[in-house]
Amino acid sequence: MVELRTHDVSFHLAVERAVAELVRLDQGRDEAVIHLPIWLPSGTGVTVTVRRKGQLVEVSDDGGTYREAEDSMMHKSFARIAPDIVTDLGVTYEVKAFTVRDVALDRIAGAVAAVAEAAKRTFDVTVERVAERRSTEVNDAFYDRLRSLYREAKVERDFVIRGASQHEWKFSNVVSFGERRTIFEAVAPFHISIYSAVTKFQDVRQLDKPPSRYAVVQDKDELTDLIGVLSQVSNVIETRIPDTSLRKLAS
Amino acid sequence: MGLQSQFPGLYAARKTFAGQLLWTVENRDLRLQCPLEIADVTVEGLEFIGRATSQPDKACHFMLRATDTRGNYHLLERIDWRPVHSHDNKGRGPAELRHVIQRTAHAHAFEMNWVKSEDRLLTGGLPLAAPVDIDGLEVVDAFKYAAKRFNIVTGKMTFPPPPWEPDLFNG
Repeated sequence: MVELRTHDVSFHLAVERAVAELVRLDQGRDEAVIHLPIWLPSGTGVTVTVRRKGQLVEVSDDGGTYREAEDSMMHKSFARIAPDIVTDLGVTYEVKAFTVRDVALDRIAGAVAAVAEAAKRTFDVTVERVAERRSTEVNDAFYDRLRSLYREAKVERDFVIRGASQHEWKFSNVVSFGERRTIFEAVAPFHISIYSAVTKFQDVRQLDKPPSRYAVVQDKDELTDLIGVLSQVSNVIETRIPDTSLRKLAS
Repeated sequence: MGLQSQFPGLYAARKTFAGQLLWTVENRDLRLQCPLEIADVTVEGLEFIGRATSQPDKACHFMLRATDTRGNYHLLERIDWRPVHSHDNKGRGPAELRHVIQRTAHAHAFEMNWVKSEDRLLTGGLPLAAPVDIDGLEVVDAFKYAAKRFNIVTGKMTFPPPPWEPDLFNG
């Protein structure tokens, strides 16, 4: 077996080349584009442009991160969230772009880092919020359906059930026939939403008399292979389930 | 049958433009949006999208997009011509493209992002892409390349290049 020597030149060169490849610079006359090793879920890298403005410079992502959000239909949420993210970063968010203006030449690195952080953080928060909002919309719509289908039962929002761990979990929609309960919990096709639901379901299914559990999703396809994680602790139904089928689940 | 299961058929079908190709100015971007026809029917929610920034002669995206009845849209394919951003498939997709940073034109190809066994696209907005050799083309020819990939028959229709005059954005 060939061992790497401590001063193996090719190894060190390879790592140096890798580091150089991580950040790329395209220099123009009055502007330079920096490709950063910060990646959005679509695989697109965050790019920041530095522009000369007299004796100072302006640093901006030029709206590139917004466009990625647009391609996943998250741009409206992105635009709402961005102003909150930038406040403590010294970055402005205007016309789709994160920008730092009037930057001295010796502060460019810090401004580039701030713009990149604002862009990435806004994208990540947007993904989470969109997932939460989707779940809320599903829960609202489902509550109305359950109320109309189960007139003889008690249908409650934000119902608290103590799990086997003794922790109290809040469930969005619970149908009760006396002590017999059925949970309908909206789950969005994102890791955070799925893991949150699995944790809650896992804890209550270990009770002596566990409630029936249904994860409600808009489209099972969107869960990808994570449907297997959910189905270990609950049944999974889609929002388009016919009333006749939904009526039988908690009866 | 969900919308996603129709994607292979929509992608493969021979298509034509059902309207004019016109660029509009939208804040920082230029945008071209045109419905598509399949077999003489303008298909609900199926569109060709072009998007450019204020930067002349680069950063133009061509997209094939489908929107469902709830208003949720999905890109079926996206071609990035002379991109100003990099792309990385990370550890997924064809082995030869894993952990390769793609700096030049690339295609977020439908077939790369389609999970045949599950009848759906990968989540995350077409996360897999492969390089395509079109950065040497002018934007009009890059459009023709994209249209051909999307199986859109352009016929005598001419593609107007994005109106990259600085005044459009500063005025």
